[in-house]
Amino acid sequence: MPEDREPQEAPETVDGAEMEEAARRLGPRNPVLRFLSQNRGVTALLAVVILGALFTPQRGVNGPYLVNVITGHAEPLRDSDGAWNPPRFLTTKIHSDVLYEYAEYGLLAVGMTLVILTAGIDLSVGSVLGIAAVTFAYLLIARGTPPAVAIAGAAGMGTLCGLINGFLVSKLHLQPFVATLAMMVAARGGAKVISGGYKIQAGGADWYWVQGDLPEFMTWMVSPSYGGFLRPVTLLFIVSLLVMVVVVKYTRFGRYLYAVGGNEEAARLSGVPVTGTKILAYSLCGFFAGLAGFCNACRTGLGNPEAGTTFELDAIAAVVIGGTSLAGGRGAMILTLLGALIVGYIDKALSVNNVDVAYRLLAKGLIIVIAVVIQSRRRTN
Amino acid sequence: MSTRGMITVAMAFAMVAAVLAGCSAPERGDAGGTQTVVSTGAGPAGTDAGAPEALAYPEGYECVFNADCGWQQEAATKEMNSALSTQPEIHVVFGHNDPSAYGAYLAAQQEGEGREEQIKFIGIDGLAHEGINYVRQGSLDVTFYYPSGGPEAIKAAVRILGGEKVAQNIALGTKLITAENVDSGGEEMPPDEMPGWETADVLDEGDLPQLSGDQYLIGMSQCNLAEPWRKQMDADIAAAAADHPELKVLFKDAQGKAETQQAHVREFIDQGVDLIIISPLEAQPLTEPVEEAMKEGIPVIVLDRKIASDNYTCYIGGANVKMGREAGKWVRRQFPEGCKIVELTGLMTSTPAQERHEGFLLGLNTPDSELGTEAPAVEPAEPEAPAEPTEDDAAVEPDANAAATLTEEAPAEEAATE
Amino acid sequence: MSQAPLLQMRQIDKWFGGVHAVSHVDFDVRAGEIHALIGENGAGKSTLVRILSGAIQADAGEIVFDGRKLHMRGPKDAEAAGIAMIHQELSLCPNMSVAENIFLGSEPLGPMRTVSWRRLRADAESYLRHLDTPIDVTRAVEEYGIATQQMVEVAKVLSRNAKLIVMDEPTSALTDTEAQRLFEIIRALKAEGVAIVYISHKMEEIYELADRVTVMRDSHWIGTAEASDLAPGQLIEWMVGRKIETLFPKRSVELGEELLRVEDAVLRANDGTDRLLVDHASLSLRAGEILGLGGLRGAGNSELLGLLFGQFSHADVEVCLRGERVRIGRPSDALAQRIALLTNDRKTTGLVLSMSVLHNMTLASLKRMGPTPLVVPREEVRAALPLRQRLSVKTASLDIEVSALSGGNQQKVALAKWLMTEPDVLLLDEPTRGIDVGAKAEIYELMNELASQGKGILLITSELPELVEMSDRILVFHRGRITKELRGEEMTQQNVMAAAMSGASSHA
Ligand SMILES: Nc1ncnc2c1ncn2[C@@H]1O[C@H](COP(=O)(O)OP(=O)(O)OP(=O)(O)O)[C@@H](O)[C@H]1O
Ligand SMILES: [Mg+2]
Repeated sequence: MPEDREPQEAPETVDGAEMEEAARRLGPRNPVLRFLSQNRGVTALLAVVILGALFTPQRGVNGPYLVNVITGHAEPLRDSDGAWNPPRFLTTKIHSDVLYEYAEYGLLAVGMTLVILTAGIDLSVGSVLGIAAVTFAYLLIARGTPPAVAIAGAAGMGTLCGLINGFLVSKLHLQPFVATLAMMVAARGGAKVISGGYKIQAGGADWYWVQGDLPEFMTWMVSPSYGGFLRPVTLLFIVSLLVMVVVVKYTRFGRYLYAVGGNEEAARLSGVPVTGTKILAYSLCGFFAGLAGFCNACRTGLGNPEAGTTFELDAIAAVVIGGTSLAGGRGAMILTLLGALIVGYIDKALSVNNVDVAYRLLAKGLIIVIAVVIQSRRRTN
Repeated sequence: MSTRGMITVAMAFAMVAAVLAGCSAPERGDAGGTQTVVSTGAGPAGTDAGAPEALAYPEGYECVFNADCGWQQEAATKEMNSALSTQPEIHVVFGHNDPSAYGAYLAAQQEGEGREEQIKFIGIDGLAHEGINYVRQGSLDVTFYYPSGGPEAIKAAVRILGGEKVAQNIALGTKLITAENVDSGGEEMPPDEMPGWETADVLDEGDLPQLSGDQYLIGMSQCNLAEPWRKQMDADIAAAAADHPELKVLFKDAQGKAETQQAHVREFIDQGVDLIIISPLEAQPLTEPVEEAMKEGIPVIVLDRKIASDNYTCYIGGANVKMGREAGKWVRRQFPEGCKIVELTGLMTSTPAQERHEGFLLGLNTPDSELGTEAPAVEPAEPEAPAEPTEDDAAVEPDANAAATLTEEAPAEEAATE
Repeated sequence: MSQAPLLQMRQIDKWFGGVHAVSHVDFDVRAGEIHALIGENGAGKSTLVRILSGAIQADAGEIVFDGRKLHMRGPKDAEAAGIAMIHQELSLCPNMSVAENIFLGSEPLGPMRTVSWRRLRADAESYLRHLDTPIDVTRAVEEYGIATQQMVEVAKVLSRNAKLIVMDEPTSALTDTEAQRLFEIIRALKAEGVAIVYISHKMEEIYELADRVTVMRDSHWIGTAEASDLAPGQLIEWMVGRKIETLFPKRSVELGEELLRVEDAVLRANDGTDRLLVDHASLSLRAGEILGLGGLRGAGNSELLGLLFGQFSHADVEVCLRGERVRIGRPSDALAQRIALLTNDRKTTGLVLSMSVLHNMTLASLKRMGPTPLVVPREEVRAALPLRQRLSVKTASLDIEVSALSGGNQQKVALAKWLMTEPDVLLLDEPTRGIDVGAKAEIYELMNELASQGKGILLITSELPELVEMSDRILVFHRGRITKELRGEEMTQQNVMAAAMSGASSHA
């Protein structure tokens, strides 16, 4: 065999076959398929919705639609008087419910995404939600302040907690896990102090001054408006999310989050205000937890000092399922919406089918693993 | 390419499997998988149910939706949303506690189609600032008062310390509270008669003994003070003990940890208390410490949940089955022809939820003859029961401007139904 | 005809997404030879040897080693077969001790099959002594600089008793002396019959060491030849596909006003000792000047650049910039004064590897791009494109993660980031580290251009020809002090070396 060969020329221009091959390796040609193969979160969400559509029951008929079709138990899609009776997943109420029920987790996840992008974690959001819910209820129900003041109180309380977290993490260099764990415990305690350990509600315990009725404002926040589809709470979540999508993608602060999370030292040497970025990230996380607390109070009609217990885990799950890396520096806000929706829809599909809780937990665990596997495969490729 | 395919298939599989596994349950006739009656022996009614034949919803009473809400209001709202979107017809929502029922009410109300008007919401617990409040607001149609047993425990303690013998098992009853009777304290429902069980009335037979010693120390171990009802229990005990200056009660909170509660009992023994009151978190882990105390000669009063042996001085509780049963009977009376029911259970791995569910089925299966009627004939008989008027009133007593609250109700509801 | 080669790689093919990194390459290595593998940045060298080491799997092709066909599923398989590798991007566990790193995965075991810590330490020390790097092996790797880490990597590979050792740019972080020491070891290994695959962009090294040379370009095999048969011009032409006339372009720049003056700058070590890393250093840089800073590793030149940029949180410095006194305590101060620092370690301090090429390039310039806190992607691309062109950054798109670029192209991105800030004073620490000949020439050109625009450059490089040819003047550091200034004719490699080694006692 020839050991030393004459030099050969590398092909000057990439030939057609090579281009073809490169294109093939980039994925399917069809633009729709290509989009789906490159955005697996969307694909997963679509899959969930389609499966949901096939497996949710029709109104008044128990059991998954598909199974009923096979066994011949399904009602006709159009009943005798011409009204539609599709599987429930094809109705707007379900989707409006998913968004509404996920609004609190969603708000927490929005803030959590910011913190996780900086390679941090915030375990305190559940407790901060609790203290904010109690603050809001205390101001509105027990003190009778105008709603705006109560909302400001809740958001301010959340922001304050976040600010302290940020300070502990960036100035005192505590590990985020430890700092926010401390806040998780402390904020829960604070919630109990403010509420005296009771749920603050209209007509409630007599140690504080109580308004007779559930304030109209709280009811309004959770009643369907905007064409019967959206509730103000849902809208608050969506608007917050969209604003943060823009902030993360199109502002310096957003870019700094990635830089700090990816390589803190390199970021610092590039003139990134590392401390400020972290403090702002944690403060915003607290702020959104405060808003979530306000939503929680409106949704339950009371300020529960135990509200939000273990919510931090759901928020983290939504972020991670979306594909934002717990190691920091990689991910996106819009992915968090996907993550939240995937969990929300799966939950809903299982719930409308009246599936036993045990199986739901099982399915949720599986989904988390599968979603993360999909994401990590994308990275190693 | 193939891995992506595999993952999609796996995902589809996971969902299909979960949906199918869960969905087959309602079609089998009983909702959910945990419906076989578990006779834990804790409830007075459950023990004599005879053959362990599975209880089910009777003919005509269909459970169209059933979900484990883990006692959580938020979870109940969420599940109720699902029920509302799949079930065109719902007549009754039975929540295992008041927050669950209230959460379901809010779901119906927030849907904005006025369905909350057509559904009867049943709760349990009847705490002053929760269930009673919701009934007064008109959110819940009925709630069943869950006595804490605190005042009875102090009475029993005084008798035991005074050298008397008290019945080993004392069953508590409940109170049916509706909008009509909420201001008069509710309708008494004394416990069912069972062999081996006495009612709380025995504690009022004869004068309480005069305690001789100058100071008695009672150790009270509460399993989890984060629950409002248990907070109420401690408050009841403290209030009742305040009438006996010679008693001093030491309160401890195990914060939901069985190990901590075990430690409590040992500490009480070391401290040399004269009597122990315990509301155990779980039966098994606390059996041994309680037996140890008994061996040391310290009497032990067990509240609400039992321990796994008969080696205790006095047990007071057992209202869970009773409350479920009365709820079931109430449904029977309201809908003699049958109805469609949504059951939002508590944490089904816990005994109270199991007993409330079991009691509910017992109540629904009650033969017509034993139902009792809405007939006022029964009513006068009930209040005559010499129940402890003071304590009960404390628990149910509306705040001073109750009437005012009631009248302010209307505008709020108007706003809600818009 | 000699015996069959030790290693034969046949028709190796590898794609990353739509990028063809290695296309149908044949490569063989004989026992006991030093085989240089060279080519432009992004040619596919690292990819080829990473396939060989089992770090990644080829899409097609086969590897025959020592007469056996290898089925490589991971680095363990390669190691078992007798192949060891020093990766281009250091792959040590930063928080583990030096000794643990050296024996990671093959710890010496004691009688109870537990790790024998005593032997672990003793063996690690002996390997490092062999490399003239007597350091404390119980300290964490991250406490040492990149050059020492590189030596630890070498020690790690030596400890594996491999038949074939692959070294991917091992000297890019080493000074000349350290590199010479490494060459001795390589020759000793060769004498023992170990084959070496050696990747480097430094021509002198190739000619000093290699028996044979293989050139790759654009993922293709271009040619293999005896090193002695291949003239440098020819080699470069194989590599870049064209002739390069002069590597170091000549220039004549009128020096301007004094731009930067540093007086008695001091940097204390932050480890409790009061050692002075920079010991009362003074210098003056004029507009249009390229001032070389020579010296061994740790002599204080790199540290001075860090100090001038506000890199150290425990120290700040007052300098005279454009005639005004300014205090620099943080990198953002320096940036505001239009000072830029390209650090010598792109992986840990230069780049955010998880961000895209574009976002890395613009990271230090975001504040300058507009008064609002918004970033405008269109503006970013507009600023990045010319630099990508100028530095010939080989990347499929500006939006891919910078970690997917070849080492040399990553270096170009780091440089582009600083050039984008349009600095007046450019502090360059090993600017051409890992960069191919063609692009180097381009960078030298660029440096001259900047100088002619009246900027000042402080240059540190371990490549003496680069230092000597590019600088207008050279200051040599020794133990934290500036001990020698070389100008004009005095600027020779020998003089720089002599001054660096012996401090003030040297004479021109
Ligand atoms: N993990 C990866 N993902 C995507 N593309 C990659 C990855 N690793 C390498 N590439 C691409 O493969 C090509 C070859 O890269 P490789 O690292 O082998 O170059 P190299 O010859 O070692 O260059 P250098 O001299 O700069 O180190 C480059 O175009 C690079 O961008
Ligand atoms: Mg390389």
